[in-house]
Amino acid sequence: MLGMLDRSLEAFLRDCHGDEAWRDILAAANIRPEEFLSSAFTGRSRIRRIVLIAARKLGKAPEDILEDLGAWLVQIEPIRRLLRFSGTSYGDFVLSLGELPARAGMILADMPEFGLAVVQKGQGGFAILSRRLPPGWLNVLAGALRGMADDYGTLALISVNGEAILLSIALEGHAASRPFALSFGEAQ
Amino acid sequence: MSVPAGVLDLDALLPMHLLLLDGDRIGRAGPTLRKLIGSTTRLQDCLEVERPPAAIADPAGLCSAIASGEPVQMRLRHHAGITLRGRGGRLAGGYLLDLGLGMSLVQAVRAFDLNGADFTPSDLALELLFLHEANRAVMAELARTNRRLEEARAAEAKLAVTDALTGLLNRRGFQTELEQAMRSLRVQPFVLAQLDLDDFKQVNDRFGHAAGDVVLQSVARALESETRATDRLGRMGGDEFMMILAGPASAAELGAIGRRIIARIREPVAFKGLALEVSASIGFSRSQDHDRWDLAAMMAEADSALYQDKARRRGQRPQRRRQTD
Repeated sequence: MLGMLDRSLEAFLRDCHGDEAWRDILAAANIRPEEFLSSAFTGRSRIRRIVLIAARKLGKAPEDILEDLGAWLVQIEPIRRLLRFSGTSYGDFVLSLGELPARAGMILADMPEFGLAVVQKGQGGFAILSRRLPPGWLNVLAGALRGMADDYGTLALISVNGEAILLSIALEGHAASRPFALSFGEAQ
Repeated sequence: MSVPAGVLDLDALLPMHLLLLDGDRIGRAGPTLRKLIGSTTRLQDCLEVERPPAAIADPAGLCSAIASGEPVQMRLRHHAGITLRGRGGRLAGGYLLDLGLGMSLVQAVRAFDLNGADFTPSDLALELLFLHEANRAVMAELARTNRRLEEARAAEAKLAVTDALTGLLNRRGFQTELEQAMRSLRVQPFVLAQLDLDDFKQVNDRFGHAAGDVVLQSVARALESETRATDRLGRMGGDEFMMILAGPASAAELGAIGRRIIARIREPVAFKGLALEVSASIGFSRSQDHDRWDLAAMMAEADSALYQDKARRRGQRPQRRRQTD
């Protein structure tokens, strides 16, 4: 599980900021690239260290790095597809976020036990409440929700507020939704 | 067909239902099932009963199987490999079956372009598709990680048997290759060659170790260019090289190979404006001359041949080399 986080973080930073930046970050974190390969060295504190150093190097807030990571992750086709199984519209998708921990637990070993609950607040407004979510994950989730809004072609306002994400759907069908069919193509 | 309409919406509730009027005539079918079987009104046009055995090609048997609540399995006639299964009972003078896709789900979704609306919320089809896809993604990711680790391991393993200066095998690597060659010498004879440079120490002494290193690298390239890809080349340490040349060879062939290698080594090597010149001596031992698994004897023979060669080059009488290791 943590190995997957490592891998996501690496792929995201290299993809968005280049191999050079990634090597600098590893060097500043005092991690040798071949160590990074090995899951034996993985740990939460190391991931945190990398995020903090990346934030400093790239001149961004750590929360922004995490949100960008979330938005980047959901652009990866297999991940995007898995998330699209949760809802036929963006509103539907947001409402089914409560199922996300169970879905994640089904496919990833040693997924930490966490809870998400969605409360509807008026027309198109939602509060996503989290329970026992490891630090930083809420920001990744907020970024993923932003990315998925783009995917569904929906305009949504998303903010992280303490333990909760506040989300309001401004306009569904704002842009064209990326296509999604239950069956994946032969090419994949 | 009188279905109690308005009480239950069969299409919404059971989108895969099939209502038979008798063993063959279709009264109605749910919208998802219609995508699979088309608009036909005859069972035999679209579905073939596979279970229970008593219902195969027997309309009356099918009716009584449905009426008694037995599991029924049918396959699509026009799509090989897609099987439906379900059970049912009597309804309003007909026979109602609620069918499901079972393990044909993934195939059917692809073949008929089914979507989320084709399944009821209580159906686990979407979850199954999700898991199917997640499984593939996770397996692909694991395979990728394994590949990366394997590449790293292979690179490490190669380093462990490579001589850093010349890129040839190091002593350990060559030893392994030699043991391998000895094990298969019955089917694959080989020649063990030993080579060292004449007066290499003088190059080091006069021009420094950097010059010596350039000479050793140039010798390695000379050996590579005069041997085949299937031969194995090693630097055993210092200026001592060994080779495993695959295949049997005559004494005359070996003489020619030796002369070619040494001529190549004698070509001047450029170093900081200098042209360094060295020569070498070479000795061979052929596995075909040894009828036992005796590496020590082969090595001793190659070693001895090398020193005869060296002595001849110096115009001296053969003499035993001092044992250096």
